[in-house]
Amino acid sequence: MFVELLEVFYCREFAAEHPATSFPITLNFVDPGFCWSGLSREEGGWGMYLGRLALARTTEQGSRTLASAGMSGQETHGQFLASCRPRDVSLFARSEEGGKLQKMVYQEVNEKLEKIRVGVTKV
Amino acid sequence: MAESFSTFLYDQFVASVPDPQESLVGKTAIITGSNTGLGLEAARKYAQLGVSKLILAVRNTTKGEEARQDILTSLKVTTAKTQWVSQGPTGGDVAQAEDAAKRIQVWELDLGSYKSVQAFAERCERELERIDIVIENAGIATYQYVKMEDNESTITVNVISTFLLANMLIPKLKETAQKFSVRPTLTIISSGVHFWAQLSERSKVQPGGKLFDVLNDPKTAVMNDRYNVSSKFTLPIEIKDAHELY
Repeated sequence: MFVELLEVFYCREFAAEHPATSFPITLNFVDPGFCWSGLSREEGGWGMYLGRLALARTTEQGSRTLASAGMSGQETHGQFLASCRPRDVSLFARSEEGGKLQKMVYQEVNEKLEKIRVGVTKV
Repeated sequence: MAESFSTFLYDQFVASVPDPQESLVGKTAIITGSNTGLGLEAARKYAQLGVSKLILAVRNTTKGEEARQDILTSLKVTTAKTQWVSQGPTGGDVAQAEDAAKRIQVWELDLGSYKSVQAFAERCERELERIDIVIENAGIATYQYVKMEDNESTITVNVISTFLLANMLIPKLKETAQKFSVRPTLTIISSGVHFWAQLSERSKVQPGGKLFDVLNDPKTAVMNDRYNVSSKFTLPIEIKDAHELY
């Protein structure tokens, strides 16, 4: 869960630092929804299996969310996409405290990236 | 997974997920973790939309090659069907199939290794004329504390390597934008489970300390909590596609 939140924070802060008007690339992030993953061994045991039977999108339907995100335009820059449409991120991520944490995550990830490869975040 | 149960049900049963139809002729796309699951199906879609170059970025190139063959086979079937309709059963699909075989390539990328990520990005810079679409789909989920590089493995793979790759590819994406007057896209596959996370570990960060030091500390990293998935849990949570495979 929190790993996804770290991704959300990084993407949002990156887009805030590189707004669509001055940055020629669209960065968006996607929730594929609850899908069959197409693997022979699905994770989560029986409860998850029954849940999938009742609710899940097929792998092909899920893949549309990825494919369409990759083909979408400037209006999705910095946006969270669910069911192929922009959606608000969580209330916590949008809160004042979330905003502070977002900057912290972005800065710490970039510090780590610079240690791996000097200059890599200067885009 | 959405913020509320009703939104979740809406997504699963009501919302339409349109199948993209636009042509990708002339474009170059990279999809990570595309040997299986959602990544493979997205790759198949791009191949069907005529993408001119498609890089399947995978950890295991043998599995990647199987995925490539699988895509090529389904393309042949589609082509044969179309030609049957338009020209009858004699229409030759050999030339198109050969063309598709060249268009789809399998490249090695291991997000558990920063060296591999950098080597992959350098290869893209060197060998690709343009990059229009990058879909960073690969990721792992685990309940066990394992270290990869300098972090707990899910942080290294899903966060640090993912954004290392993103940042390293940006110069080429920018160059593509300028040279071909297009707007390239970089897509990160995350998941709605962020709605349930509040990063309570933040309270353990000492003044002047680092959040990631706390997140990486095996004493405080409760792995089950990290994904909040257990077999007893009946409401399913989608985790990233790849698990042990990417």
